[in-house]
Amino acid sequence: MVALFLWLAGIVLEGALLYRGWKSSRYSKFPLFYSYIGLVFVQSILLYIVGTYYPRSYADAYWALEFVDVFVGCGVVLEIYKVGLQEFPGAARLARNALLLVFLLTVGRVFLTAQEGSHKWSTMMTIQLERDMRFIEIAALLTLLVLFLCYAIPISRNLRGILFGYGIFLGVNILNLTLMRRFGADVQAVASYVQSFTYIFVLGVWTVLLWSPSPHMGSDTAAKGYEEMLEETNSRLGETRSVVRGALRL
Amino acid sequence: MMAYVSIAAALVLFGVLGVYILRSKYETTLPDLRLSDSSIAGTCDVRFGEDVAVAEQVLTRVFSVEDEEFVAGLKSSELERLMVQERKKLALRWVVRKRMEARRIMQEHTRASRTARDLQISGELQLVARYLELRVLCGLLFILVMTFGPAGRHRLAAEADALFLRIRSGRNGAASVTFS
Repeated sequence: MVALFLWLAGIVLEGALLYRGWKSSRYSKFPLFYSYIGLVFVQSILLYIVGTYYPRSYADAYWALEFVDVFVGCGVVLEIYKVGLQEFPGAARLARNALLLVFLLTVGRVFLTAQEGSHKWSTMMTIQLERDMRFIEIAALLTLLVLFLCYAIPISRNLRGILFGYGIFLGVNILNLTLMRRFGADVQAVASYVQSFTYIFVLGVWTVLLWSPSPHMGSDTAAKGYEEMLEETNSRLGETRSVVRGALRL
Repeated sequence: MMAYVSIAAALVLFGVLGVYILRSKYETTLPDLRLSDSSIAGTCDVRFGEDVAVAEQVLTRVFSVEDEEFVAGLKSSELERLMVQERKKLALRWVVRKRMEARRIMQEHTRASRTARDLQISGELQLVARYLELRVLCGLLFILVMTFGPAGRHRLAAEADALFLRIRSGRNGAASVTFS
């Protein structure tokens, strides 16, 4: 009964989110995010039909569709980067390099898992691969969050909602996948409920924060060239450093 | 191994998200205190400008042993204790202020450079390294002042010097005894 309620609540919230996105013309601003929600919405209905009429095929259908979700989910992280830093070319440049490094560091692990799976593919292998892919997404999201914090990037309410919701979803998802990989079927029922409740919470956050368009967060253009800025900061830091060193020597 | 890394990554993500939400809430409730505000930045500049001008004098007085020696000559242990206490407070506040000044310099830089199209990654890394060095120096000074007091390092150095001299003269004495 609870499972059915969560399922239907999810479909209703996804529908509401898509409807509001269409009504407030948010599709054009966040095309990848709404594509992701649209895909999950269609999947939820498909899985409901499969679960009701073909319960034996449910597990296979679930994992196959979940796998597609993971790849489309990467688009959401890409959108956070694109929209969040579009008016901050300096920070965007740093983010591009940091994300490339994160991608190169973690993608090797995913290929390793995929190669293991080519000999003997199982549900556990799918869980592991999904966990690794989610790990890449988390690493990328963390990189972006640190940059947003360090460079004090102002973010609109809409994008903050996407970032917060997707971050919570990813964190809980990777914890669940790790526990399922470790303990198998013993924790599957609990993990499934935790995941479903979290997803409903995240959909709630998205619905509230994306209900109406948020005001544009503008940025000032740099008054000086980077070289000049660097030189000035370097000399100011140098002055403070020499005073502190002086106190150490006194 | 990957399981632990994944769990750690999730926990770090929750932590950073929490910090991010708290910070954005703080910034929206205190819009007037943003560093980009030109009037506040101006006020800070004046304050820090004065600080730079008098820093050398204040520093020499607070961290020097002269005043302590003078008070020690008055033979009042209460006065001596009070002076060390006040000097320590003053010195610690000065170190904290220097640390905040460094942080403010970096904040101003990141706010200006985030829109710079010609930003250089090597330049940013170099600045981060300099900033971290400054933070380490401030931390070191803070610990030294906390442990030995602002002028205590001089006594420590003097004692170390005296000990070194005693050891050296002891060795020389021993050597002369051996040769004779």
